[in-house]
Amino acid sequence: MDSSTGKGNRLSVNSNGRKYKAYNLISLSKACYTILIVLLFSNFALVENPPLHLLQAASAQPSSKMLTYQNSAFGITMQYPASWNREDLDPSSGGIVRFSSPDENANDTYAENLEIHFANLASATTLEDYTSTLLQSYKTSVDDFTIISSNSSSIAGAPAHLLVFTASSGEFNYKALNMWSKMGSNALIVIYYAEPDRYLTYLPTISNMIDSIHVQPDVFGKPVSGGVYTIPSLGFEVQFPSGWSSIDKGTSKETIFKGEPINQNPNSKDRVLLFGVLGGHRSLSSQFQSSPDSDYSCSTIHSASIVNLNGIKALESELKCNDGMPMKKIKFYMV
Amino acid sequence: MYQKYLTDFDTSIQGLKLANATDLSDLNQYSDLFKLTSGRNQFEINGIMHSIDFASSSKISDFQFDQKTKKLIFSTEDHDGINGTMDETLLQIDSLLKPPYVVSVDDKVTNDGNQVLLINDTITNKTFISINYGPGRHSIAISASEIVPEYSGIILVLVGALGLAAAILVKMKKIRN
Repeated sequence: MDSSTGKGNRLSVNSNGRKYKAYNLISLSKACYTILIVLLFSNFALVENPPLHLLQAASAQPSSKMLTYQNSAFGITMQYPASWNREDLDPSSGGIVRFSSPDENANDTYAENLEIHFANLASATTLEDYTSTLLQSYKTSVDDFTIISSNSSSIAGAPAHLLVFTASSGEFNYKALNMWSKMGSNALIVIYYAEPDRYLTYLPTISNMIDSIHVQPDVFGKPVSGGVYTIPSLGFEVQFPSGWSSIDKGTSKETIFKGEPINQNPNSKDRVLLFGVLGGHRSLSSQFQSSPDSDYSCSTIHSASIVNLNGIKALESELKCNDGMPMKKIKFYMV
Repeated sequence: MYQKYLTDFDTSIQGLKLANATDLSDLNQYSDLFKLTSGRNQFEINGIMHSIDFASSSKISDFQFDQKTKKLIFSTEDHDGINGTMDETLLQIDSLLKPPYVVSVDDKVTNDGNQVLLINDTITNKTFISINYGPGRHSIAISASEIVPEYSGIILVLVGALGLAAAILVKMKKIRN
């Protein structure tokens, strides 16, 4: 998969110059961003079940010291080898953390790694729904995607799905283990990337790491609520309302903040605060409406007001949309 | 429900930060942003000079004001005859006419929000009217029911009279001394 083609997971280079696979949550979001996942992971070794002699060989290696990773914001704790590199990922892109293996030798150019991500899922979406959507997304967006195994599993006692697959990114072939589960309003996604011939080498370590994951459901399962949304390249920053959650549309610089989880009540309307950078005149707009669909038809603006928002002059207007509800739209322009 | 969450939205928007935001109240900055050429036209109405500021992506010509019908008329023409793009003319209309406004493009009254946008600047209390049109030459008319009262001429006369009186008083004082 190649980020330049917008497909699947991308091959990146870490600060040590070694390559690793980076889980492209945006491409998942494009396919199913309305879905929320919570992934809990356990009994991994039972599912993948590598040959015993390999596990024993791995166990025979000097046991490395383990460190504790703790993320209080997501309520996640886990163990990882002290010799592995830990890198915190950008939560605004759904990332939590990446652990990369140390160099095996001078010729080792690829760092096998374990990544943990989160995502928003619709509360009405089941694990089976999400599994089906995700598999379909992989089939269409991941190069040379070949399923090795696809089974039910669990993480920390919660139902999960375990997928092992091979794929490619340009000339690079890789093997991956991907698990996901649903918990509350959020999702936890765990994915292990390896060169195919190194996959089993690190599997025992990965298995131990995954088995050590502990998630506090009451912390992790809460919708992302409140917080600051930024577009650093524009010097844009806004504190979105407490109790609202954000969904990044991914394909463009658009983010929707919702007042309530989508589909929690099919009859209810979601509140939408949308920020988007539009083409042409370098404008940034935000709009507020009562429908989850940000693209539905609203009346053309006949009048607008220039208002002062925190020292910024913005164009404010109110429209009537096709469901009879109003939409308030505010547009900013950049020099 | 819209109203219930509107406060959240307004509160959120009130705290936003944005680098290099354009000052929309400044016609010059607006003109720079949209690559418009700004200008000013003046009219004499009942012996008093009225002016109207504008910015346009077109060549503006034939500015006329018909006092009887309270109608402002002007012509627009593409710069360089470039076709295929929409042009815009923005006028600070409230310096001349009071709302409501009726806008005609090529003698056809338009209520299309894509073509005419009335912008009320709550910061400067100015009112702008933005008119968008296709390529080519167009005749645009904006009419209203009332002309903005213009006191500047009277004020100038009063100021002049007061100044003259003060000068006379000073002169008389000097003479007495």
